[in-house]
Amino acid sequence: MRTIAPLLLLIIFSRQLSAQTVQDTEFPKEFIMHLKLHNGMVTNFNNRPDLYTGGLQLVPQYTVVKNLMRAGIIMDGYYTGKKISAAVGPTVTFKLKTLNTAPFGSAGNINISFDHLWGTNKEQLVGGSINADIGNKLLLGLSIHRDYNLNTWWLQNTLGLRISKLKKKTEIYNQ
Amino acid sequence: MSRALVISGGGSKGAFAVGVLKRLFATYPGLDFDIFVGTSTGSLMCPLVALKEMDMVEALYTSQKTDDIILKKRIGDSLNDTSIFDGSPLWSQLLRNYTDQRYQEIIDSGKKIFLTTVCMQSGEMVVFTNHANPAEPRHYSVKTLINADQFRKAIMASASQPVFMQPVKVNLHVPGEPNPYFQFVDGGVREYAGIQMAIDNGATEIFTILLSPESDEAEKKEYKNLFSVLERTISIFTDDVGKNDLIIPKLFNEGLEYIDAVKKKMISKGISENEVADYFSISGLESPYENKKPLKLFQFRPKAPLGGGAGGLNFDQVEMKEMIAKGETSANEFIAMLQTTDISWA
Repeated sequence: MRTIAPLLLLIIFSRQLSAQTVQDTEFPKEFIMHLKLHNGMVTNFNNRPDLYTGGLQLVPQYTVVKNLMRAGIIMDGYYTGKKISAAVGPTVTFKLKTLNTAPFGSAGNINISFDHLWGTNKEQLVGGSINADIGNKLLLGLSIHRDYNLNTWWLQNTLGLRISKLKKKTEIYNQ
Repeated sequence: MSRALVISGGGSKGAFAVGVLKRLFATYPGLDFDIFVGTSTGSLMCPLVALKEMDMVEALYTSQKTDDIILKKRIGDSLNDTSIFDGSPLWSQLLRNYTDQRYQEIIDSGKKIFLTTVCMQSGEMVVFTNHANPAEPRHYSVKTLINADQFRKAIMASASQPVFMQPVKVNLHVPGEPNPYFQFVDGGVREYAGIQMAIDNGATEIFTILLSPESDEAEKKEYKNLFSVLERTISIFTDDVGKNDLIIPKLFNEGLEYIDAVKKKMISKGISENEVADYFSISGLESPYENKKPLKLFQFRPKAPLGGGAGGLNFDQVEMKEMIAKGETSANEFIAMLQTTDISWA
């Protein structure tokens, strides 16, 4: 954490500076919720067979630093090792890059998430994912988590859909 | 004689018009206009020019940045919306600069202002005006403004380029309005510069400031993505509407001059004025030239593209200052070419 903290501060500072000069449309102040379908494997990187894992996540988040950071929780229901389990935990997402379509606004963004999950079968996962948000509708990502309690690695891909309604801005002059 | 100022659409390119007017007013302090016709950026500017608030107009066209006028959005969000950009900053500016008091000053000044829009529902050109008794044209409709709120909304609509900015319900709060939910957009969709409105309302001397260039030079670059194609399409569309806008008044004026010359020749051959008038009055056939006099048309136009991005929606302060300088140069050239017989405003 000691090494990550200065790095995060540096990202925040540099993004704040750039936000002053470029109109950024990604990560506005808003509530957002994704439904994510994820699947992949649980492995130890040894000779034993890897386990399949797949499930559904509900991820509500709120933008706490405009154009930069969202925070929220992950509620996960998944299948692995012939069992259905659940996990829950906090998540933060940092926007890395706005995919601009100058001069017409943005088509999406590349972001990175960090999360910690506690599972019903003693899983304790820490890790994150790198994601491409396309058109504020679709999310494609790759994730890696380390279960530091059961000594396994979880490698997955995710396909997410924004399910929270977009708050339509009031056109004052049409009221 | 009635003198009109017509300013076309063009977003930030309106700075060129500011340069032209700045130089004209500095050279001819007595120059004044009775009729003002604005399309898009022309509509934003005309009411302030009518009040001779040139310092304010210049400040507005040199201090604005793009996000003072429009906000960008996420393209995915625009799919469920009526525009690519959000025009709310422009509305805030209108509230700030066109107060109820300023609207009253415009009414009290007696200047006639015409703001061109297009109705989304009817596809018709609708011109909003403070003129209590405007001419009743055949090819478009005219609505007289009832208050400052409708005035501001008409300016907003006139400046709202469809697809880029939201349509505006100009008549939403007009008592007795049969279609309060009709939406209006930039008049430039149908008419780039409202020269015809000036003619219809009795102007005989028209100063027209167009913001698209004269030249038809082919561009040398290849358009490689959707957005550059869209940008270029808008530019071609605007230029085409602009050319048609000029051709029709010029033809109309040539017709007027021809008829005037024929009438004079008839009178010189001994035909009385009453008989001449009778020859030109055909029962059951309306003359488009009736009670119209030949016009003096003065035109100002940049020689090359001014910049300003797609639809002139890029507000770059440095670029706009250059546009003002180009406008001043254009006015200087006009002044140098002007014959003393042309000057009715000294």
